[in-house]
Amino acid sequence: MPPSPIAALTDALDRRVGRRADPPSVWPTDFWSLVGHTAVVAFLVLTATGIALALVYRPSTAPMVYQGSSELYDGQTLPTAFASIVYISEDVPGGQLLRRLHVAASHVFLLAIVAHLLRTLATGAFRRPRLLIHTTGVGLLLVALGFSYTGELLPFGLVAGSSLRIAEAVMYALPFAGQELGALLFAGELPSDRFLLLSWATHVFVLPLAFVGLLLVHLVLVHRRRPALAERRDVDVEVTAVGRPLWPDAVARFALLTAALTALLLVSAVLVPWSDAELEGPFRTAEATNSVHPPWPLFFLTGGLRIVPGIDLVIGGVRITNVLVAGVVIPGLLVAGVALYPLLERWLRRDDAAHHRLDHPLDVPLRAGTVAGLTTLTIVLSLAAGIDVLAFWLRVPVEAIVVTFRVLALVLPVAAATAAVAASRRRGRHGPGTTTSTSPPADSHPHGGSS
Amino acid sequence: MTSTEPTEPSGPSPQGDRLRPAWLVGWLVVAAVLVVALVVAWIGGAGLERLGLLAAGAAAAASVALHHLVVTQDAGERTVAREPAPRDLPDLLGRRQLVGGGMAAVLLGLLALVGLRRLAPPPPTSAWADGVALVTLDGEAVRPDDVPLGGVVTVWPERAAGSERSAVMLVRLREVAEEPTRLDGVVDHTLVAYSRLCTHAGCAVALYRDHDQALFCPCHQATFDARRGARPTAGPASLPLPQLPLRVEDGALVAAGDLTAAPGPVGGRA
Repeated sequence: MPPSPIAALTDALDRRVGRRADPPSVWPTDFWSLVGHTAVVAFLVLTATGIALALVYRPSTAPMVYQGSSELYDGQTLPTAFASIVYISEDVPGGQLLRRLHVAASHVFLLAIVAHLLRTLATGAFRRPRLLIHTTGVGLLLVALGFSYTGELLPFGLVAGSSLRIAEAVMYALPFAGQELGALLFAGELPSDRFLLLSWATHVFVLPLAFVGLLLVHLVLVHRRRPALAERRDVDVEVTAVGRPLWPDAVARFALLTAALTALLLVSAVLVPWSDAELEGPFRTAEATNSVHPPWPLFFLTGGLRIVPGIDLVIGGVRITNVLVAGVVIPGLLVAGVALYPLLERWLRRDDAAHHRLDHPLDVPLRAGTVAGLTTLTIVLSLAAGIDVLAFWLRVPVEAIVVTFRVLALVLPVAAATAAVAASRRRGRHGPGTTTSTSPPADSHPHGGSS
Repeated sequence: MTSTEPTEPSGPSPQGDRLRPAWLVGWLVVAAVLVVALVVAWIGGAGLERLGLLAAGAAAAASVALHHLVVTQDAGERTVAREPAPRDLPDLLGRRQLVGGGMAAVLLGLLALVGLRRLAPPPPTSAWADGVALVTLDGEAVRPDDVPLGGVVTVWPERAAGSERSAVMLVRLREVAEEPTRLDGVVDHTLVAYSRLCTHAGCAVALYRDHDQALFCPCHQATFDARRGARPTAGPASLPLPQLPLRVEDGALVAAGDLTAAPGPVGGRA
């Protein structure tokens, strides 16, 4: 009698990536790998709640009269998209819970990705043979930022028009073809369905497909290359990989994480009004209110737009505006720095050897300085997104705060990088167990030398 | 220690953690009951708190069951000898392929640029011209008296009410307008009109600060002096807001020409 399909499947899993796999399947299950797993769990929650929300949401700006149980909006003429958000929140049973769960999971999603990336950079987990894992990881972060921007537009709230115009202005600021590109994507005036359909299709089809594709490559490579591990006493992690079988041990742990995190997200959704688009109000032509902010993952962009001074450089028919600097050059350098730093380290340290042991964040001065500098710059730019709120809290004119942040953005990253390099050097001289990691292994070959 | 044979460094869980089937089944039943209760409550139109707590309870019960399974059924860690790591960077630098690839990329980029310039729609034409009446969002004509001292009214050209790019705000200044304002386009020496789109990043310059007669953009804090041609005084904007010259015809406000510049953000072209 043939075995049941389920038994056949678990048997196949067990032989390929499970307890009976040969060579043994090892998958990281330590605390820090949970951070990366958390991002995947959040993505699952986002997918489930997103599908449910997509069944009711309507991507249209056409005005319609909302009639329902929201006392605030009953009988009012609203853009259809905003009305459908109010309908989900107030009239669909459990709709408000779904929206809050979706937004709460999006915060966890981005926090987990950023924490995972920082840890990868600080410990040198990007070194050979894990370069492509790191590159796909940076791609996943960019896709997550895209989710953040497009997701914020969908309710078509009061500042949706401003968000769109800012994106258009950044595109316009590109030299040579920016105007054409902007006209192609943003042509026409609000309120128009075109932008909303573009954001909706991107948020619901393009970005999820891109995310799943990149994630598959990322995870298959993590499995094939074996985990990079922190130093441990019982095993030399440079020659031996340690972990749990993917099936069923790691899968069971992942299921546990999914259930526990879902419970926490649900409790937070009961306690915290995460989704406040209805409080902000619907889009109205050429209107805005005080305190306009994007979602927090994009604070570093808007912070740059707020503090880069309004000085235009005109060179041979090309105008370099502060919008170009703050919206393209600075974020481009940040992303390029994060994505290409592994190559820089390989080249400068002439270290092309394979590394499987995770370093202490201060083991390599170059790395410590780069991570500290990039992180500090991102934090200062993100805080600069709140200059209006700071001015209100501190009762200081906003102009003074802008000047302060201009100085901080130039001084703090350099200071942090210098301090990190100094601390790293001191550790190299006096610290524990750093002699092997600061000098390149003997069998290393210079980058690109064998052609 | 450099063992290459599969071993179990941490070993399975302590012998005390034996699988207790009744415990596992009990918590799974609790989770199932809570899911059924969730569905019933959802059909009954229960509120957010009840639905959220039922779902959280189901997830928590499932967590307890899964935790029991993970702790008792853990087979421990495995070790495996690492294989020689593959080179993850192809040796491209210095080769002919790189030069060829770079040239092909530049060529493709140029082609895309030309294609883009052909495809892109022409820039929108302004709806403002000499004699175009100023109207509110409801399409009603605006008289100079409709703008109170220190007040702001948003207006549109009569054929394009509500269109975003043509939005203009009328400001009634407390003091007489000065250069570089186009003074022949100012009514009563104090009523001026400027485009509502910020020259920095295109947001609506939606706030007006009466004590220094400044127009203020909430997006990035660009500040413009409404009394002196809306030139930028603080923040990230580098160009003044375009002015709409005004005149009075039959008691109502009409434009005396087009905006002094195209509205919206300055682009990357000089």
